[in-house]
Amino acid sequence: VSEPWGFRVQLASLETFAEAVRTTRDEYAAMNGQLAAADPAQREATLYGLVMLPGSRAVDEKCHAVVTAYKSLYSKVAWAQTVIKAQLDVIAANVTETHQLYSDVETRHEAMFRGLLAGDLGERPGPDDGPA
Amino acid sequence: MAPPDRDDYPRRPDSRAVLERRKIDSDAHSRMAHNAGRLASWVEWLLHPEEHEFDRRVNYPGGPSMEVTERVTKANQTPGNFEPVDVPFESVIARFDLDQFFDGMAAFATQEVETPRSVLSPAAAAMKNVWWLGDKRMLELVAKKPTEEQWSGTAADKARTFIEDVTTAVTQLNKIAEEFADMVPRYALIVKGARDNLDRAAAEAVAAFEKKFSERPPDISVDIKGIVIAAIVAGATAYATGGLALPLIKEAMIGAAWSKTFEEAAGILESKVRGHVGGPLWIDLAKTYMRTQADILADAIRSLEILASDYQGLIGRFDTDVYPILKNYVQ
Repeated sequence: VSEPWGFRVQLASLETFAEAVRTTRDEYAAMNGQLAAADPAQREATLYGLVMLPGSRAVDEKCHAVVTAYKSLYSKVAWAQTVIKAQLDVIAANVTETHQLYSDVETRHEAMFRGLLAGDLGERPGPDDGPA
Repeated sequence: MAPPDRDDYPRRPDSRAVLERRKIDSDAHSRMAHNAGRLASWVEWLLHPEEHEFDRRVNYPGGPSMEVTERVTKANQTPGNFEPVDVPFESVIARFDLDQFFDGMAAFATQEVETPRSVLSPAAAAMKNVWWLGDKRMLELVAKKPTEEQWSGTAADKARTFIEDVTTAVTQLNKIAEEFADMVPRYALIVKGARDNLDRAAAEAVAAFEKKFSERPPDISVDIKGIVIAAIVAGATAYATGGLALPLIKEAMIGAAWSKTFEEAAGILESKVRGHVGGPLWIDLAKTYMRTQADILADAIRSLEILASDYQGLIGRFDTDVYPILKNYVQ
């Protein structure tokens, strides 16, 4: 746990969480690709009946009402998935950054302890050495 | 059986043009084309008694007008001409045009919905996958979310806040996605149901015409069976993954699920009598066919209205339950 540098981390928990975030983020990315590929707006015309025929006009109007609502809901769900994926990207980046900060702190700790250790070996007087 | 001296497809160019404009001609890919051709051949024959010597409505001068099964002639009134001439006549279904028999089929001729190549098939799979992703992965994420003790700081706080928010949003989104996945095939099932019913109506009308011509019974009643289309949107049908593991990614799996959806719907949707073609006269057969066709269209139109309304309901829920949460995270 590194606390004096403005954050606290239990590495094992963070790593488990980081893995879950990455997996989820990657699956959201794949899902967003699938949603884009199946976007009804791309082949909308294939969903309609014949137009300009008196006998089929009523059906055609209702088909348009269904497809319009369907497209609208589809785009809303796709938008939600995009927002969630983008936020998972942010969390994944933050987790990585936390790891990096933790690594920096560890490096500084190590350097400091090495310095202290070198002092114990007589290169510099320590507090228990008494007056120099 | 086709009308006498005819085959199962109309022979007049104007009749063929009617089928072509409605995309139910022999070159069209509609599976209704076969019975459309058979029906058009009979209707054409009934509409043009001048082309044959069989059924027609004879208008006796100063007397009744009645259906007869053959030419009715009278003495030639032109001096020097001795060949008998026809008593004035008209078609037994003169009040109808050929077009009117195919209004229903035309309305449902072109929607590309039944094939796994339909744009609806991958969309239904994608929506099912959206549900799966929210149900499985987001729950895992929540379970593994670090506590304040395990990860603190600004980034940790933001991550926790988002996960708490998104849990609420995804819970609502999942309910919508689950219903949405079931609703996507309903449009296809309505179109298919209408096609099946209209195709059956045409086939039974032909059967009634054949019986009337060949057996000459005093009265005819042929039932037309079909599904109640409204049952599709009453919640009877659902997207079927056929036991395939989610998520559905591969094209073959998605196609199999689409086909399975139609199979399961066929097992659920009960076939009932939806109308009949009957009566003592040709005009009665035509009128009852028209009524059945109108009933099938009304059933389909009402079902499409309900489906559109159901979609609007889900859109409203999205706007109320999901959008207000997620809009805060738009970057």
